[in-house]
Amino acid sequence: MSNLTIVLPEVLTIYEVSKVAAKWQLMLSDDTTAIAIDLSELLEVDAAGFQLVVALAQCCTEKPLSVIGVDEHHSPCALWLLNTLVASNCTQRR
Amino acid sequence: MVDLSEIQAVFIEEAKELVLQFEESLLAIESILPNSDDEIINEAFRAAHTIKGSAGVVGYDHIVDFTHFVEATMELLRNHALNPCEKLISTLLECNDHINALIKCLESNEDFPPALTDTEAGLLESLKSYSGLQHQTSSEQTVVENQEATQSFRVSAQFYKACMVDGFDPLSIIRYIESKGSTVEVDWLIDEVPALNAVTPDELELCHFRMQLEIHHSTREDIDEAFEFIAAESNIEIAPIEDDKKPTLVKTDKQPTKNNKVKPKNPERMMKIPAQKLDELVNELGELVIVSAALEDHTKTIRDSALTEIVEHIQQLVSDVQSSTLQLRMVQIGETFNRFSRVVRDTSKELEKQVSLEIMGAETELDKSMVEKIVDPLTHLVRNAIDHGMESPAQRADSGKPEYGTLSLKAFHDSGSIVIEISDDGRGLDKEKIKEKAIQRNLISPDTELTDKEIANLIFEPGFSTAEKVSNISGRGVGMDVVRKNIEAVRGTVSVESVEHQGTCFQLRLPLTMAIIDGFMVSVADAKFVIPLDMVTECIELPLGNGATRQTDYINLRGTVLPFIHLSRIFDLPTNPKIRPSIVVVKYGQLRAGIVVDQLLGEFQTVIKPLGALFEKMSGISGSSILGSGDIALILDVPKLIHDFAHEPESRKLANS
Repeated sequence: MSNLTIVLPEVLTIYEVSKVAAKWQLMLSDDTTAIAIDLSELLEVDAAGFQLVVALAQCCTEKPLSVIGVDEHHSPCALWLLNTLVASNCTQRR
Repeated sequence: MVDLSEIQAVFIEEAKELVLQFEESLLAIESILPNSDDEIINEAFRAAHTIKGSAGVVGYDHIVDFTHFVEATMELLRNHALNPCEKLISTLLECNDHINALIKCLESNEDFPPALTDTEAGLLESLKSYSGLQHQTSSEQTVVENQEATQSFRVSAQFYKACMVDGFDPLSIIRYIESKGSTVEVDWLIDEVPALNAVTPDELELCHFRMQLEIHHSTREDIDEAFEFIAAESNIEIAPIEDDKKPTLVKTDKQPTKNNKVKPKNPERMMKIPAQKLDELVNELGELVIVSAALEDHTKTIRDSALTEIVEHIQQLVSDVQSSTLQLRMVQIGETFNRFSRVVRDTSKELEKQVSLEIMGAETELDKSMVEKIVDPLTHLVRNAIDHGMESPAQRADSGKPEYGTLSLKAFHDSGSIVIEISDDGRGLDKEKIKEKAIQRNLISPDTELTDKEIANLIFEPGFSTAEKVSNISGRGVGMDVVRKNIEAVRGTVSVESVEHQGTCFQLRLPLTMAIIDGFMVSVADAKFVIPLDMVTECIELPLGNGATRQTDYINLRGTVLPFIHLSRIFDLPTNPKIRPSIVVVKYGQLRAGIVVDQLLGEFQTVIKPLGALFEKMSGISGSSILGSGDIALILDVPKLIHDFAHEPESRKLANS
């Protein structure tokens, strides 16, 4: 049993998705029970980046993805991603 | 993985074409003033609209904002709210130049210089004076426009799988619609997005989600525009929300509405390929041709009929691939000629002359890399023709000519070359003045006797100009020699013919391609030479009798005098008295001559390799080729050989065929 925290990079777009996905896959293990994503560094995200986070969330369907490191002072895109993930039932607001 | 620079490069290439289209349409509108043609105005509108749309997709907001005003003005013309006039078209042409300048800045990765900002402000003011548009960004403007006749829509969007890899971000649609002043509610349908641990990383570059949008305060036209670049390959359903009634979904690709601007798929599929990739392909093909020739040589020594047959088949295939590949690089010259409408328009306006442009042979094809290299010399010749050649309307009227002068651009194929003629019906070259100037500049001595053609060709000498005034168009004498240098750099030639008071014709003769040629191989002593095959008309033995001897430089060939040159003399090679030489008869334009060689080795497909800086000024040789045996063959520069031969002082050796 382990908890995993993933810090999203500054830029998460179609140009980074493949590389970041491979990195995250290595971080995931069978006994990962909870995943938290840290949006504090995120400055830019596009639909492909959003989809990657959704794919990450799909790995822990029984335990909702939790989000850390974002508040109203952070970048608009981090707030957008948080809101969209909440609206898509991938996570819940803390 | 998509490279952002590739997408930007595609935008820049497309935008450059659209700028040309916009310019052509504007010139077409101007040419029929005071009448107007809705279809041409629509074409111009579509070009401006697509520049704006594509710039928006790649995030070049500056271009979007400026082009918005141009598009808005075109919209007024399209709706007959504004009438086209010469001044408006001039302003729009300047706007087009400005868009072009912005694109060039992007291309060279430079910041927009302050001068462009000043130009832009001036142009926006001018546009405002026509259209009454206020200086607002496209989004601000649209908010005002959209306050009327908006409604709500529901859109279901299933994008094609590779859309994101192709550089399309579905979020850009939301941003675009919101920029029009509408509000968008998005429902992301993510049930088909796979879990990260169940797919390969690359699969997450494909689009697995769908979007359900509710768009308020919008128009069908704006929504169609938002999906314009993606609709053809995706499944987009748009339906108006009418109160609480369940909307009837309308598939955009099957039941287009009146306002639906989604473009149908182009039935003739086109692909854009960077020129560099084609260059690499041609280079690799060149190596293949060399290896194939080596294989053929080696096969001859083995004497195996089955192997020989296979090798012949391979060579046939290589030859087919070669012609198909070279065909890929061919473009119609008309695209280039059309650019000169603007040059002619601007130059004649500036000089207060009236000139119409005639284009002939626009469908003639030549290598794209050649086109790029001849644009500058052509521009110079066209501007020069208007400045020096064409008389003012009053002068033309006095000499009984129509006030409108005609400048013709004509292209055609001849003897394996492409010929481009730039001719005018102006005053012609003043040969006395040219001769006088040449004497003043010590280019010739006062007692030199020259033919009309030779006098005319003096204008290609460095620093030569007969213009009395230096204008910003021509007259500095730094142009015509540069024109000749540029044309010779691509293995071409330039000549001029002129009749006083009737006009002047410049003729550029260029090779069809710069990479591979079909050659005819000959040898002199141990050296091998290649003559471009399309210049060879026949081969004969050098007769010992029949009025010719080895010492004379001409023979009687079926009743005409054929001058000839000895390669052994030109390249200082030993001669073997036991060998009876042959004459290869070559033709270049109107000139015909013989080249005396020791042996005829037959047709040979050859790849042109540059000689390198050390030998580049070597006269009579245009390149080299590596033979299958590993030996080097020199490719003869026949035009240069003929030219040098024709200008040898002791005799005029060339026969006009």
